[in-house]
Amino acid sequence: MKTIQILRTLINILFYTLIAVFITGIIFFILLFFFPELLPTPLGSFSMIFNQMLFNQPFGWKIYLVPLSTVINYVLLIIAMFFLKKSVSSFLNSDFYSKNVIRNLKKGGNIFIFIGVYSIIIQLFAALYIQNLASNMVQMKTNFLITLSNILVATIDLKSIISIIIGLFFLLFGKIFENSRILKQENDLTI
Amino acid sequence: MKTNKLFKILIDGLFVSQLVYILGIFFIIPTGVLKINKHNSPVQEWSFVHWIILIFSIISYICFILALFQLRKVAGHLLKNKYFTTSIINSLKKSGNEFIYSGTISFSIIVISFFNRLFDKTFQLTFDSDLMVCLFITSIGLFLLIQSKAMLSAKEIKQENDLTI
Repeated sequence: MKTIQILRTLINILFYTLIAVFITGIIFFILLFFFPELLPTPLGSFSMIFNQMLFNQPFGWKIYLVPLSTVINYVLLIIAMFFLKKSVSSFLNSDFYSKNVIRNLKKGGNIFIFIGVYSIIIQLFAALYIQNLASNMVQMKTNFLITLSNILVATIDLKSIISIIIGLFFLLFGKIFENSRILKQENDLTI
Repeated sequence: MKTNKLFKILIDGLFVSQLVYILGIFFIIPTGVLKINKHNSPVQEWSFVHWIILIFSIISYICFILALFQLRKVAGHLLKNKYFTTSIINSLKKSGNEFIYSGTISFSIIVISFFNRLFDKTFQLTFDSDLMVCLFITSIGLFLLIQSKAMLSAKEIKQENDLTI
């Protein structure tokens, strides 16, 4: 019971900190968009990201792709933590094998896998685009193996892989609980 | 089965890459160009606290690798569809404990760095993902411990079930 309570506290700290940071970020961007003069000089200068000129630079809308995907990943992480939080609440009532726990674990796991795969795809897109742009600028042919290893290193990062592993772990966790639930039901029905 | 296989492949990949990484650290240390994340200066200028941070970081990292090793064992058992065995429960317990040690030691590194900066008069208030990673690793460790407990009770249910005619 003690382990579950500590886990619940940690998950709550993580969940509410993530939400607090997200709300602070939204307030910061609202201030940046509407009242940049209210912010101190180094922060206020970030208002250039809303400048129309930035859309006309050579990268166009693509420059917003990576920051936008980071925000999407962050929101998804909050949702995944919410599902884990719900599962842990059921653990506190010693309710390990309920349908709700299994469903929440599966949802959380799928979101973690999505975050990992989505990050890899976005990074692959960014790496291919920059590689293409760089080779056009330099006008020099590079070895295919070097290009491929550059793209692979830029695409597959540890965070995405760990996110997929955690997602799979929660899916397996859900599967094991489902098996245990069937066993428990069989046991309860046996006289 | 597909999930089990993918889980095993990714865990194996992560484990091997981390082993290569830690071996790399021991090759880099003698060159003297090592820099730690919390203090951007060459090794010759490190104080006692910086060495403590390095040692704690290595211990935390070794705990993380050991936890991954136990998780590899779990993935191996899952691949053989051996869900409720004593070895899988023990591996989950060990892995959970090692993740908790790794997370706690990482947290202590953050606290030591904070006080070091405070006494160095280079105090700064920042938000980075390091603290979140520590909490997350510890949470994963606790999840594994709970899973081992749940599997132990499931194993008892299975034994009862198998004995009932």
